[in-house]
Amino acid sequence: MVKAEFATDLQRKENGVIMRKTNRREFIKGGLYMATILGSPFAIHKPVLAALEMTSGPRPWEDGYRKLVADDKVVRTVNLPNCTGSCGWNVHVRGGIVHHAEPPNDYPDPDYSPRGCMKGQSYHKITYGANRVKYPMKRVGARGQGHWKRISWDEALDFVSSEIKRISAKYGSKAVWIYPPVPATGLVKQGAGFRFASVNKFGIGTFYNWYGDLPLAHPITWNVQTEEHELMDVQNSKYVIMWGSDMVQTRIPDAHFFMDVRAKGVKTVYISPYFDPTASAVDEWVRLRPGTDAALAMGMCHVIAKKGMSKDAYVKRTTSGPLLIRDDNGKYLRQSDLKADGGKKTFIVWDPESKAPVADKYFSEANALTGTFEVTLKSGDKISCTTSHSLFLKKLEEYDPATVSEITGIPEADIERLAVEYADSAPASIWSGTGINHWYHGDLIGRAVIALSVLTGNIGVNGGGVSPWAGQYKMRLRPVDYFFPLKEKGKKARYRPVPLDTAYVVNGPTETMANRKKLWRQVRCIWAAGGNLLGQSSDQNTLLHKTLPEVELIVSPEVVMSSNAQLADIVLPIVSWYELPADIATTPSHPYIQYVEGPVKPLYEAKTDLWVYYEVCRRLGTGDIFKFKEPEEAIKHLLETGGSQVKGISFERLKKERVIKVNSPSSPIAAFTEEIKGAKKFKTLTKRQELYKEEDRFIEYGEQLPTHKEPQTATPYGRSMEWSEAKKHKNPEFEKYPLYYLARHTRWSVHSSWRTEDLVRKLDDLGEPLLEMNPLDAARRDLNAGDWAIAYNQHGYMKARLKLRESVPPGAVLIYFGWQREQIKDGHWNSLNRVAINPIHEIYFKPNVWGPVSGHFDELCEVKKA
Amino acid sequence: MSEELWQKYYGQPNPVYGNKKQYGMLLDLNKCLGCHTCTVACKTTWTDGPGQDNMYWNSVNTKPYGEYPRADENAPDGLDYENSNLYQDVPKGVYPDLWQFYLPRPCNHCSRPACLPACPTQAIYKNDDGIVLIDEDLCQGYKNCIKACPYDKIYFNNVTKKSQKCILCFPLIEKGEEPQCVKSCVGKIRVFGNLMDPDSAISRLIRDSSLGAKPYDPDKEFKAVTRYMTDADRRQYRDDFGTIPSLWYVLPKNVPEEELDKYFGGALQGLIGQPHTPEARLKYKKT
Repeated sequence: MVKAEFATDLQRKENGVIMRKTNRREFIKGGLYMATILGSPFAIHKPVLAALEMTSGPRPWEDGYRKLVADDKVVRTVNLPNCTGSCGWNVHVRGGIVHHAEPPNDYPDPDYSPRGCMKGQSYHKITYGANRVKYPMKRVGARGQGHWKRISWDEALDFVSSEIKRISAKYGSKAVWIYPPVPATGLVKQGAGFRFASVNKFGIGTFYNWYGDLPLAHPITWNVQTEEHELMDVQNSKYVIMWGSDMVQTRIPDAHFFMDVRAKGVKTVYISPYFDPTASAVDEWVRLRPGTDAALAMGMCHVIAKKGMSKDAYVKRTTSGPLLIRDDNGKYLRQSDLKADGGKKTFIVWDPESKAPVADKYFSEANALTGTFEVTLKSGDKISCTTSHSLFLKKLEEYDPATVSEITGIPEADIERLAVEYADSAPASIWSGTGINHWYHGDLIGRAVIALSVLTGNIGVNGGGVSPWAGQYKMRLRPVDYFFPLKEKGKKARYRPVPLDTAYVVNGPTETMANRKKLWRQVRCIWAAGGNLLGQSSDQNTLLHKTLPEVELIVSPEVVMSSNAQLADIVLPIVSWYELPADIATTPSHPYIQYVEGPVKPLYEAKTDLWVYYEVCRRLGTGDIFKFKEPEEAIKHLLETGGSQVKGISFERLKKERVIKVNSPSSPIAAFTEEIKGAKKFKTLTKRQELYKEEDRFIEYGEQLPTHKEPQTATPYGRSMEWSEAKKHKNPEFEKYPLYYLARHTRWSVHSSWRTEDLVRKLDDLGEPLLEMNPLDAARRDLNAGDWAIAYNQHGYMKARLKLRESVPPGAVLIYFGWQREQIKDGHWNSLNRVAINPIHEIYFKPNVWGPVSGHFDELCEVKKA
Repeated sequence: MSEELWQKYYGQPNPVYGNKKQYGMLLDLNKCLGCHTCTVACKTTWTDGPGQDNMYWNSVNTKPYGEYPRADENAPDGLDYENSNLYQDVPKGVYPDLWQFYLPRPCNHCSRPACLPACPTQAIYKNDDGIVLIDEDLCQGYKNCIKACPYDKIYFNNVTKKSQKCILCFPLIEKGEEPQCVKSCVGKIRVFGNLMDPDSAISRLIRDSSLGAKPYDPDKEFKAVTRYMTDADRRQYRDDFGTIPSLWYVLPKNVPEEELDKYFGGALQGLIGQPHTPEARLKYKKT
């Protein structure tokens, strides 16, 4: 065999040009020879020879490309959209201008590197984009008409301050209402919105429940806002269910964890009626009728209980299962029911040894998990009580696989198999998303899914749990001293805003509203700190035509000319994330706190949110209380008062290291790991995981235990009814509007951010709003792909072109949302839904913890040719 | 891929061009998110200039319907570069029996490129790392390479009047970094390295499909992070063109085998032993 003689190494000349030392001619002869001898795939062709003769020598053109990555500055910062990503970026700057960004790949746990998607990667296109808000502007002409007058910052701040003073004098300061920012996406700038509302006693809205992201099942079961496992914990699972959570599309930085475990042989399941991107990337796709997920979960519980696969010791130790429930009134039996000096918060279990009711001890197994017992009250009356687990098992009787199959459309055998697979794999995790939460009865669906996880002992263990994925609400430090500053050091009194749920601001109050007398008032000034309220809100028609005319001042601090800014009275130019001097960011997705530092100076007349708040406070006489003007000082304050999670993390350390893991009792972070070991009790009234609820309204609505209720709107059957009743009824709305309507997240935007950014928009199919439906439904309506069509119902309509694909099940219409006003031909994707408030969500009102959860997937429509 | 086949492809320096390195990629299609972070990483770094509006050196399409560029009789040169991601998430089949997969495609940096010999001004060369490059000083914009490339991965810049293509981020490789599309791949589907180095992560992962489902040592040379790779066939996309692409794909498990054969035909079935010439593309293209 002939071996060609040629130099092995590249020789770089001073000018960076690469040259070969080889005599190419000689080598080619060798190549030819080899091709002939070996019958090599590398067949030789005449032009090749000619080309090779040209290849030696310098290649100055290559330098042109080298220059494109010869950047003079690289800054590590974090992008701050509300997508839960919280992704770090190395931003490359040349000549003072951001050229591109690369993932820094520096997370202490390499499994988190790289993170960051095409949106974060192209954020500089928004920074430099044509629709930046460049200077303060005041509306001239009607709202939304698009006529603006450029004013100075002083004029803008003076005007806003004097208007706020006028409105406060006339209606009270709580009529000035801050639409709150999502706090973890830049704790300083976002938290400053809360602080601004606090020190001025303004009203403040909600974001987490208002968006429909709060899984109310969490506060119901555990009395916590939300507890989810960090996404790396997927790696510890032996069986993974993604339940109504299109991870591939909506959780881009962490979706690989699900693909990784699958590559390693763990079964992954996706439950959704839609053939979403995630459906094509899992081992099993389970389809069901929209809104019937609770029935499936209950059916799986049924199978597990019947087959004796439930973890009864776990249920005994940690859940409300063994607690006795009074058969007469449905309340938990208390010690105070039994004797005069008994504790009102002491709950009772049945002791099988002494055959008597005894005070419950958390984590004890000395209790009867099932059974009905006679107990004597302090009055001497005898009543019967049943353990809550027995009541749950009785409830499960209604959910045999045949019935569940009838409700959901999933074959009986599949329900049984899924249940067995899930119960058989320990630990098994469920990653639930907005797909099962954006429903009027989303709390019931969530509770049923949690029950499934509880029954199999999966709550509180790494690799298990029920982790809902929506909203970057989690701050990983204690922010209360920054958000609600103390009035005096050392004393307890704080400055606090006056909350009013965003749902009521948009919709008006309900009869069942919690604390209505104290909290309801007509809002007269909206400060849209939390972003694009007027562009993204549910129930656009009520908001624009009923609510806004009552509002005398709309302030829109904005980076780009969003729908909200377009409809505002005053628009204030805010710096993009790449111009932020400093901030910090966290997320539920990963356990890191990160330092944010924009790589460039503010553009145009843009200012930070913090500066704007301070300047307005100064004019209102509260500047000294608001205090912070520069973000560095605020970061120091946040870290110093942030509590145990950030203990040992100083400003200097964070600025230097950029990304630091917070302190946590479990790693990877999982929920309730200490509680299920008995080291800690749950935060609920009974100190246990409460599958059973005793509040009057739960009893009134028959929702003490998880159950399936038909959707409130999107069902062909009896609305909001349990199945045995529901199947006897028809939903009259369904006759008129027979298509499920789903306006949902896309991979191409974070809500409305990036929707007007061309680089990303152009990669999204046609780059415009599209109504998507099954070809079968289109044919029935004489519609073709590309036709202009209108999706409508009694609330509103949306006009867009049609895209036909089989991924959408027959009987449904979906639209990927986030489009700004100017991009929509007519109508609005959120004009088809309305704010329907479930009274269960109003039992308490704790902002962003217990409040009306938007159920905007619970909607129907019809489609016709435009 | 068998050891024997690896020997045949990569066991010796490229017999035609002499490169003793051949950089390439392995992409796990089971893991692709269709997010286009690769596309945008590439675009913001290299093709953000005049005449490059619809130029994506790396593209991602939903197969089977997505195609970039798309054949269009009315477009200049018969190719339409607009709406590069048309048919996004449009699966094949009837609900609920459906399949689709995302196919990310940069230039294949073929061992036996069809573009190179087609260039009348001899502007195209294969460098020592096996990267196929167009010398833009020499390119006169005759577009012969665009016609020759069976993968449609060469683009004409109407402003500069030059043909342009993926450069496999050679300036980053010189700095010891992975190409942008690999470094940024947030789905962690890509492994990059030297196919001719028997000990490189990529050549080990290609030869042994079980490797990757368990931890392996990533290439230190490029500050790479570990990726998990599915234990499934590794093949080249449309190897029937005969250009010996340096991109290898882990085949998606959820797609019917007979459908996959249309895209990832026969590299392992011995097709490769047959001679192919650049003209062969005329026969294969758009069939």
